[in-house]
Amino acid sequence: MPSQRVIIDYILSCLSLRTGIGLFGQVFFLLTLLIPTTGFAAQTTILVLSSGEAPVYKVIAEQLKTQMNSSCASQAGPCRDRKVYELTYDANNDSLVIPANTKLVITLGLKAAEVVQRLNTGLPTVHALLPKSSADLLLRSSNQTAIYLDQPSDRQLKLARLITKTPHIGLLLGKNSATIEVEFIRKANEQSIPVSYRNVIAEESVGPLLKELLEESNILLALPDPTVFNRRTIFNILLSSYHNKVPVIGFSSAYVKAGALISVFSKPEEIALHLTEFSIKYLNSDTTVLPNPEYPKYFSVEINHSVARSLGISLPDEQELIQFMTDKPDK
Amino acid sequence: MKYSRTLPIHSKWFWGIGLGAFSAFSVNAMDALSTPLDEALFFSDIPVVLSATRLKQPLNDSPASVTVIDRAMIDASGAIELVDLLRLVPGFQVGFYTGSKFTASSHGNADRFARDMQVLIDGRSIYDPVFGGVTWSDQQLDMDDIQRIEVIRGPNASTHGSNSFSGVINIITQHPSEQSGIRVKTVVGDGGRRQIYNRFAGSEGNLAYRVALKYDENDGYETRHDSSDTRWLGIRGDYQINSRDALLFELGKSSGTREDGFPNDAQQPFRPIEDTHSFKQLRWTRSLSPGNDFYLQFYHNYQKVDDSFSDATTFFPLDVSLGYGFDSQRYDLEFQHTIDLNPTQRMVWGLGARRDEGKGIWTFKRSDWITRDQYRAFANFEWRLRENLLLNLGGMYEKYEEKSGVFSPKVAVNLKLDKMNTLRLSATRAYRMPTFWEDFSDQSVVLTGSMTPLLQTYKTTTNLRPEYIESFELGYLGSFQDIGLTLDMKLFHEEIKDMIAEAKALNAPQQPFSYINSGSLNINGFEIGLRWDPSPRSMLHIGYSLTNAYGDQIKKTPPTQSDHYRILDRRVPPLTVSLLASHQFDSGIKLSSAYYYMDEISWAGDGDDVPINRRWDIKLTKPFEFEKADGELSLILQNIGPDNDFQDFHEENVWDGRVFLEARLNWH
Repeated sequence: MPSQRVIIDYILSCLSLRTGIGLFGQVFFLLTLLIPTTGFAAQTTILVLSSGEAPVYKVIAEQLKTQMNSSCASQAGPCRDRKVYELTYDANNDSLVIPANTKLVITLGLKAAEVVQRLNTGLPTVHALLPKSSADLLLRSSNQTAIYLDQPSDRQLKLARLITKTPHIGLLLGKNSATIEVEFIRKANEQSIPVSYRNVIAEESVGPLLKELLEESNILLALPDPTVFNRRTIFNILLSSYHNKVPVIGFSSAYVKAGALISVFSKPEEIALHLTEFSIKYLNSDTTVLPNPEYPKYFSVEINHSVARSLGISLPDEQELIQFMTDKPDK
Repeated sequence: MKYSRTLPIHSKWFWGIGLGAFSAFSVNAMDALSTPLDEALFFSDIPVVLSATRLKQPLNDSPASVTVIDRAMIDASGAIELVDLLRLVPGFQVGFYTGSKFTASSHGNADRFARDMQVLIDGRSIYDPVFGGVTWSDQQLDMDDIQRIEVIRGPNASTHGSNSFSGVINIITQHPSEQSGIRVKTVVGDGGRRQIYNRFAGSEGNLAYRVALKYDENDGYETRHDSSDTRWLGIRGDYQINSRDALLFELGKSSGTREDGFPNDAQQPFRPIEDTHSFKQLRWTRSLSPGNDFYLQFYHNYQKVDDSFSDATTFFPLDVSLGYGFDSQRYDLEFQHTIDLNPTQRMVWGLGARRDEGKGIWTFKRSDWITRDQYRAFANFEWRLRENLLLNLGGMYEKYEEKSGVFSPKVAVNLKLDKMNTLRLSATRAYRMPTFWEDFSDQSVVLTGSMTPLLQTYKTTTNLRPEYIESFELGYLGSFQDIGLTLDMKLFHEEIKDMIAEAKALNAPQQPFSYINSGSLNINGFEIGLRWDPSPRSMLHIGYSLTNAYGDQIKKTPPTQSDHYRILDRRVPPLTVSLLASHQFDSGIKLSSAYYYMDEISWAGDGDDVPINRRWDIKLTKPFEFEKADGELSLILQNIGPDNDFQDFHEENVWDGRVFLEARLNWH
């Protein structure tokens, strides 16, 4: 029975946790078997482990629950008996309870991913809300996969092409964005989009490197890398780009508010939808093999119309843009 | 990985996976192992950097003709004095009435205190309410700190406030976070020019700041007694309170000695004049959403001109004194709200209050402050009636103490013929309030010591009305982004009415000069502004203005014969042209050249009728780079062409060729 294996794994991992891993050294995890009161042996549980109390986790967990229920309502059989069980990682609370009949673990965010990784539950796990660079570091075993938080290069490149017919993309790369670079440049090459990049070793060099980059490129792609893009550097990056008439593509809604021309990103609701579809597909299939990590299927585009207007850039509306970006390239 | 900063554009980007890509990856992948990234970055707030007020309006939506002097033009110009940059603006004239005192005006009609222009630095008006104009060399601002200068050619009170009469010069300085590091700049050259400028910009937590210091001295014209020195300190801080609230504060102080005077001129003897100037400014901006923010701003400017002299010979045996010195200050509070009402309607509105103060024992015969309060409300409503049709409706109502309230309206329609071509039709009116000097002048030659008046030289006795301008223009804007060309043309008709005129009061005892409302000036003209960037390393700018002006006003009051009128036709030079071109070679060397032409002009006040001004400048710059520093070395040749011995403002101000060496060094 899987439940026994879970217990053993748990004890082993608990020992390893308590023998000196600093991050979780203070935390004592307790695993118990949750016997379902309804008592149906056929019931399967999807465990959602959030990294914290922030609304983003709540939204995804709630949405996932609702969507699972509504999509199963019309179906008979095992689908009806699936339950979504939510847990939240809490650094101050020393227990983590994994239901015995868990068939799939969904982690939301880095903390949750790390906990599950360390517990080594052996349960099939999908990590969501996880940046690709972190997923690349964490994913070791075949029964784990991820839905990245980042957007695929293709999508960003298509967007660049919609902003200008002749994009030349500028990248500022830091410690966390090194893995993005290779794939990005390969994809850009496929689409014949030139890319300039600079490696930022120290934050002080952002200014001079950016200056060089803005002379060469006509679109700056902001990357989720706090060693380059942070509260200290963002003024220089957004202002200098604007003054050089180089629009910035951001990776969050906040970037658009701050002054990026446009952002492409996945909202919590969109991640939840992707997770729902993923879960149903996986649980309905007979296989126990998880698919490879994938980029978010659903995404949003947000435009800062004031910046667009000021830069003299006219763009289709957000829905049209998404449509263009979703269409297969006409090769 | 470090790339050298050579400038050939194609050397540093990669089609596909080049070797650079792989090696960079291998270096950084190692470091990345230690720091897995969490999701917070994707969902956390970041400060609003490009708030609505910081964004510039696209030229084809602008209700007026706008000339933007950007960094590329500033760097290429070879200007040593900031005010020289304004020569690039179509229809603008710049006069150097000493080596350190300048006047700048649109469509002429100016004396040494050009009173027809609103000048803003980071939203702070630097117009002097007491004598009018701008004391350019007292401003705590170096050209290296300027991001861009937006010059609105024509009245635009609804968006830029009082005194946006014949134009607005809107100077925007760089954000300190764009300047981080240390910069040292020195200039040495002809005319005894020695200049050193130091700047330190950095950040501490949520605060980004700049501290700049400058010392500048020069001997002015060869033919004049006009040596000067100026020193100043300027500070700017930008504090981000949270992601949507930001504070801007700026302050500065300057002082300097400027010589002035003419030989054997009892009213303008050789003398040193001491200028001091200071300001402080605080602005709180809250960004509500893209296109929607408001700010609350306060500033205070203070200026003191210490200028008086004694004369024991002219009225011998009497020892007499005369002076032009004064103190001036301005307190201003303003609230402004920018809001995108919906995708087709946008509005900027605001309220402001101001107190201007002036005093001068020599100029107003009083030692207490004269004060004048102003209250204002303004709004500009932008409505995109159709995809290709934009309506701008704006206005400002202002009420000055002891004056009737005045309303300055503006209406403009922009019709986009296609993506590249836009036509604009606009009509506007704006007012210029009299300066304290015009309203309250009371100056006499006095007995030294007792200050007993002997001879009245100036005395205003009427409560002056503001003069006003009505302007109509038909503009064209061609924006050809594919070839990097912007072409701006306009036909205009301007009428300045109820002008404030200096007139000799024939019926008053001692017949002093006085200020009265009299006369009008009509200016018809055609202007072209062209900017072409054929490549990222080449640039061409052309400014062209052709005008015809006519008008008159009373010179002696009450007028009884024809020569009691002053003809104003030559106040505006018929033709002004500026050319600026620059190119950067593969070696990194930058070569640029500027040419300025101004027809004969009759400067008002104590200015003279001077013949054609022609000036040709060349600048050669070599950038260089070290491990943690970079810089550039420039050779600047000013006024090197033929016929270069022109007179500037005064007949005595004769230019000659000048050579400067400028060195700039930055540590990151």
